[in-house]
Amino acid sequence: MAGMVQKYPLEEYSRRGQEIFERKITARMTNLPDESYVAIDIGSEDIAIDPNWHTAVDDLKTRNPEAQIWVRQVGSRRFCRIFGGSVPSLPPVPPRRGMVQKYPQETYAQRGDEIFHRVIADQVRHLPPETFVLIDIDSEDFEVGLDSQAANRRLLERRPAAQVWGRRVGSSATYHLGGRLNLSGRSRVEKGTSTCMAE
Amino acid sequence: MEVVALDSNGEFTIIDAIVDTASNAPLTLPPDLIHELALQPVREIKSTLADGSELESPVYVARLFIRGEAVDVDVVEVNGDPLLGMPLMEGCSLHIEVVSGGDVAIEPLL
Repeated sequence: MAGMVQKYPLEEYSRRGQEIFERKITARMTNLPDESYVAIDIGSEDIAIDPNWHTAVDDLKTRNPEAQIWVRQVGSRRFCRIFGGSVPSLPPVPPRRGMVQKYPQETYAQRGDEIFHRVIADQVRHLPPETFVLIDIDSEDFEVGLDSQAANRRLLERRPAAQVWGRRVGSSATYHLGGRLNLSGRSRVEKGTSTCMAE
Repeated sequence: MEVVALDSNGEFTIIDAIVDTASNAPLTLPPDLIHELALQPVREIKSTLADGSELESPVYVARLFIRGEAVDVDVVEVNGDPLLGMPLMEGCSLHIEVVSGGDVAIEPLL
């Protein structure tokens, strides 16, 4: 997919792509399976449709190597794609090493919380409750910080094979998804027995 | 609300996310979208859901394009629609037209 030159502002792909999709696909081709991907060249309005989005994109590129391509799935607006190269002012996305999980999912929470209360809690009691705590459940090494990404990176620099469990100083839950929120400043979110801080 | 993710090929993926004002996770994505974006897990966490239940899941890192800047954010794997949480709206106003089909606007505060 590399090697294409982005000719339009990013928002133009989405706006024109959606407009062409509604005019040419929604209005005329009502029998397409929801799983199909529609690739649109927003310059020429050429269209390729295929169950595999790679194939649809390749079809368009074969017909026009300069195609400015926007892709979405027929039955879903959850995501669409733009092919056209990166924004020049942005740094490239670094290759990211994933964590190879050694243990069943529930082991991380059990061992992580046990280590937190036995080794870490007394050392971080003075920190704001929303502070992230990243724990390597193998070595019991840990990092803290309000920036979870930075804390995670520091831990991985020291322990490249770390098996990382994350929580906050004030809660075993890292995140609270939905529910009741008091919007006055840095408010406490309370649900059941678990408490964490809204950001 | 549209969220723009960048991948290592320089491609953009525009994700249609629902604003969740009660979420303090930056972004949640379902497994199929995480697979599409080829995100790698970086740690395990526990989240608390609206009904009080707890969810143990991996956290991924995605590079988003927000107001002209590339920002790396935590992505929590949750089934269902993508959810845009409060951390990604910090420093912004959120305007919602509470009618069917109404606009949702997130604007930086001056």
